[in-house]
Amino acid sequence: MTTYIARRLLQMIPVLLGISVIVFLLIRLGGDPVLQLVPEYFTEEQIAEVRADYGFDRPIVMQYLEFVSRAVRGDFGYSFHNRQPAWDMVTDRLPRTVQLAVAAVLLSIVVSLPLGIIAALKRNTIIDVFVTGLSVWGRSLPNFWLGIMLILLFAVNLGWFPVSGTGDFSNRPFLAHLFLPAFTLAFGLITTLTRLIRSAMLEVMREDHVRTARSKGQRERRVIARHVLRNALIPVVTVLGLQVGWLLGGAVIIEEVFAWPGMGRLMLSSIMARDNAVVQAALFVSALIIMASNLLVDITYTFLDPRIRYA
Amino acid sequence: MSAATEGLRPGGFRRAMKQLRRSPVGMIGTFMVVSVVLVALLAPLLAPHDPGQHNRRERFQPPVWMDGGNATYLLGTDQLGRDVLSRLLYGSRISVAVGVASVIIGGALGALFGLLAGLYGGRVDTIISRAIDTFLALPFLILVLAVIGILGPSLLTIILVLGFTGWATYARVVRGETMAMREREFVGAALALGASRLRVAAKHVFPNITASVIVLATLDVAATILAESSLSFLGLGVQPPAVTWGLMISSGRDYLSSAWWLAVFPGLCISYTVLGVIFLGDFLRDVLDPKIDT
Amino acid sequence: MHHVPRTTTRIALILVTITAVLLAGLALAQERRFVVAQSSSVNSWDPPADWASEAEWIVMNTYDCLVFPDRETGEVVGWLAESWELLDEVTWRLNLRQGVTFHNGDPFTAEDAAFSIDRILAASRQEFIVFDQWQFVERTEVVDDHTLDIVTRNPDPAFLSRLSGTGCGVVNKSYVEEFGNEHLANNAMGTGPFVVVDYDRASFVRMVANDDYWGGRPEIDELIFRAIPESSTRVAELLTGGVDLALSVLPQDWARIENTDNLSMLHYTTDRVWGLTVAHAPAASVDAVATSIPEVREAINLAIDREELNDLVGGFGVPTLTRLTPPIPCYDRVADQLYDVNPFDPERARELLASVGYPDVPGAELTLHSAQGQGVAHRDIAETVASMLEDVGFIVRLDIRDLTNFRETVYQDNPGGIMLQTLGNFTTDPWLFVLNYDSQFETRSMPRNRFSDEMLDTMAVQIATEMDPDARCDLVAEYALRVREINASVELLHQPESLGIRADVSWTPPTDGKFMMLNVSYR
Repeated sequence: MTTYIARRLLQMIPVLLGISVIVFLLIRLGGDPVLQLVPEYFTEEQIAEVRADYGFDRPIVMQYLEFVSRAVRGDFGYSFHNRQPAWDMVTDRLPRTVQLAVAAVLLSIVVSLPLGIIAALKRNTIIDVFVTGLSVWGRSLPNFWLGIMLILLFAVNLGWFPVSGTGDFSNRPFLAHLFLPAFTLAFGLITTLTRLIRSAMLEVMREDHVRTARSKGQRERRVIARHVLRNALIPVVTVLGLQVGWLLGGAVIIEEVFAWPGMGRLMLSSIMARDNAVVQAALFVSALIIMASNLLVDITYTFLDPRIRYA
Repeated sequence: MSAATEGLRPGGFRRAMKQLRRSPVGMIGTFMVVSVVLVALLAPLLAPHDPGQHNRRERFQPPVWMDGGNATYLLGTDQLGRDVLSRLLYGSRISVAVGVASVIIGGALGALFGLLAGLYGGRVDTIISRAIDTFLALPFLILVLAVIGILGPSLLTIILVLGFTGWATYARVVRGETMAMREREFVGAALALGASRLRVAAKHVFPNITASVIVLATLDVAATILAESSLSFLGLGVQPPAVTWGLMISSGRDYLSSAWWLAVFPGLCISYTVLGVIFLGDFLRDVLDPKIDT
Repeated sequence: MHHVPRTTTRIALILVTITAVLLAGLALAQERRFVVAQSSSVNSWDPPADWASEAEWIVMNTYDCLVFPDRETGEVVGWLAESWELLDEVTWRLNLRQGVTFHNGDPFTAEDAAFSIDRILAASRQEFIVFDQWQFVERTEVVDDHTLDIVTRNPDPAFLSRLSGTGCGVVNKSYVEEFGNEHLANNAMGTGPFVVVDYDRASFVRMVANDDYWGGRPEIDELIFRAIPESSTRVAELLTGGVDLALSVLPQDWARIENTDNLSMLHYTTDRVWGLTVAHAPAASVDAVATSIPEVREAINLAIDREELNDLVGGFGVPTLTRLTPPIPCYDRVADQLYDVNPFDPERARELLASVGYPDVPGAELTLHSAQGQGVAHRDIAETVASMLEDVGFIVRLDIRDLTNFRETVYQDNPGGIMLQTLGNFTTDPWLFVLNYDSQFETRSMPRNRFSDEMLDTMAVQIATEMDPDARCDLVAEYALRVREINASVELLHQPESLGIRADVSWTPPTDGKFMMLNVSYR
């Protein structure tokens, strides 16, 4: 097990290097990064001064090495607009995004498990058709639009949930504030998971040992809980792992729609303001999260399915 | 020759049509997609009004079936008195253009790199594989937003950025299939007989992976259309006066409580289009049966 | 002690805790929290570093100035300075309030007042955006702890008004000297009615009442500013009780707010005017721009139906051809010609364009630059103006950018020829209005319309030093008419503010259109 994790960690190194190259090159896409930094009335000398200050006058390979050695220490430079270390800004906001993402994942499991199971058990009934249809339609809904509609319906018209924000200044509990954005973010996942769980259930239910268990007269609920669910969870874990990147991207939009002060909103405003240090830091953190969760998924597999070897 | 690609051969066209007729999902999907593409092509003929024309005395007209609605503006007008229906019709153009063009770029690039990696193996494969891993570890939408933020939004940039960032999925699939193909006897034999790799690729490998690429690409069109509308919504998409559905939702959002039709209809249009593409993709997957997990 | 049964102790402890929690809860429930929703938040806590309206409003709730406009009358009145006298033509002696302390307990003295001005004078425009506006000060002299002399460059009739200008917040000298400007930008330290306890640039600012405020403790205990860029979300929050005051509410939502119990709408005109900055010469990056032709600029002026723009904001604006709007002194001299008038004449505009051969002129294709997210309906105004210009035959491209992007790209040189802006003003004196068209100021706030007019430049100098109010108003009026005559800029609409507010508090919007929460009182 340890060797397996060590090997997986080793494999991550080239990917990390690749990401650092992309993040490094990103701000150079728009041309001379110094010219993007300084006001246009700066003289040639002033520009040269800034260039030297930021080390942009050195060979690009040197710049890259410098970038990497600093990035390793979590130093992405200062935010041009906020005069704060970019890394600190990103990590300050990260917990808010994690709250949202974790809530979305939990919510999606809680909703899609029963839906998927019911659809599979009641295969080809009206319930199945309804659940499957809904999950297909759900794939086609833009999440920002869904968020706006949910706000209109459940917050403005029905008043069940607050409209926006995290509830730091409202009398309603945090969970009430969390629900709508988390649900909107979870919606895409719910549709995917429901379909997956349904088909995994159907597949497993056909398998021999399940049939045997059934024929042995074990109670239906027990069969489902013991055999079917456990096997059906494998694709669920896979998808959840693969969807972390999607979740982070979705968070940008959801945070914007619900005025949720997380990393996504910071990222978006930094992109708009061309605050490159923050964009770089946020992109890097996102990539780290995705890689870490992929690793986590691989490890979880080994627990869920003993058949997978570590080798 | 696998059964998978038979439907793509000229002789298989009739068969494909037959299968289509038997599949309600395929029929519906095809109809939906064709209708959107037709609307996009014929928007100037279909639209009752100029989508940019401000009819400033007739702002916030509700749709025709509501109190105060009139037949001049079937789906009402927006905050500047522009005809919502005409804007919806024109809005399809950006969605279709970006969806198709980006996917062609991403698919072509991905297929090319995947083929190279699969055929040559060794160091070429290592480099390309690491690049694939890297791109798959980056959050797609965030990367796209960051790049567009730096390059500035324009139709061309958006198409290119969505295309270039989407290549990795194709490359991974094509690489895998090519590798598998190399193991097959006839390809191995051709290579052993000294056929050039390019020739082998063109003659044996490529036809056999087309099915996968087509299915992947179709479903990717759906994802790309959603991504484009998200960009528009966030203000990093195609800029006004161009009309996009995402932009319509973004500006209609401010009038939601009084003029719901401004944000609701474009959302339904996006959903309709994406749903059509998904149906078509699911149908193609069932018919072509490529060995991929979408 | 040992013999007391444990359970009894526990029960007693639990009871005590419950009581304490209940009491604390009651105390909390009585806390008066007031939440304001506006579209943006602060950029810097250093008063002279930023002049974006909404950010300035927040910042000025925690700082005091030496003098300040009275909210009711609009007259400049004493604030941290109690009284003043003019010692000679250029020397003003200010007697400062005693017993005022900064939020960290440091006493406020003349040293702080002098330092707050000196640091602007010693800086640059890059560092402090208001740099130019403070150049009227020659130097400051500390006489004693509570007496400050300010020497102006010239005899200055607008002295008091300028002294209350953007960046006037008095900072704590020893604090800034110890921690530096960068620290101040992230950590406010003033003497104002509210103390900043927590903030996040993108989303909120949390302040609490300054118990020791010299002007009396505010009635609000906790003041929150939330940055909510979308009007619809601000309104939804107001309707559902999430916020107590929502700024910039679109007309479509007014009825809904009025019809909600305990909410009402409040409309007033601000200190800002929507206007078009038109390029009088091409930017360095383009060869030619049609707006250099006077007839073209006049055609722009005539092509715009200002009443219709007013409709977009619900009718509480006022069509205007000048930034010299009420209640700025001297405005009444030109009001009948320039204020509340709508010279809309598309026929004449077409004739003018034809007379110069438009569109067969160099640089005929114009771009209308605009930002979005700049107050209510800004983007709609931009789109409507573009459409009105097209109606009379202009070739216009609309270029709408995010505010920050806009500021960093096109704002500096207006390459497309036309730029939609809302520009603020000081309502206590016309000095800022004059400064905007004075081409001797390279970095005036009206960005690069690249025009200079000898007549205006000469008059600007006269206005700056004319001490007789009546004669000065004559000059200002003449100046305003000249600005209009050459279309130095094309003004459109005196910007209204329409805000939704809880009906159980009373809050009067100040005459200067600024936004400060000291005078909120609960009914």
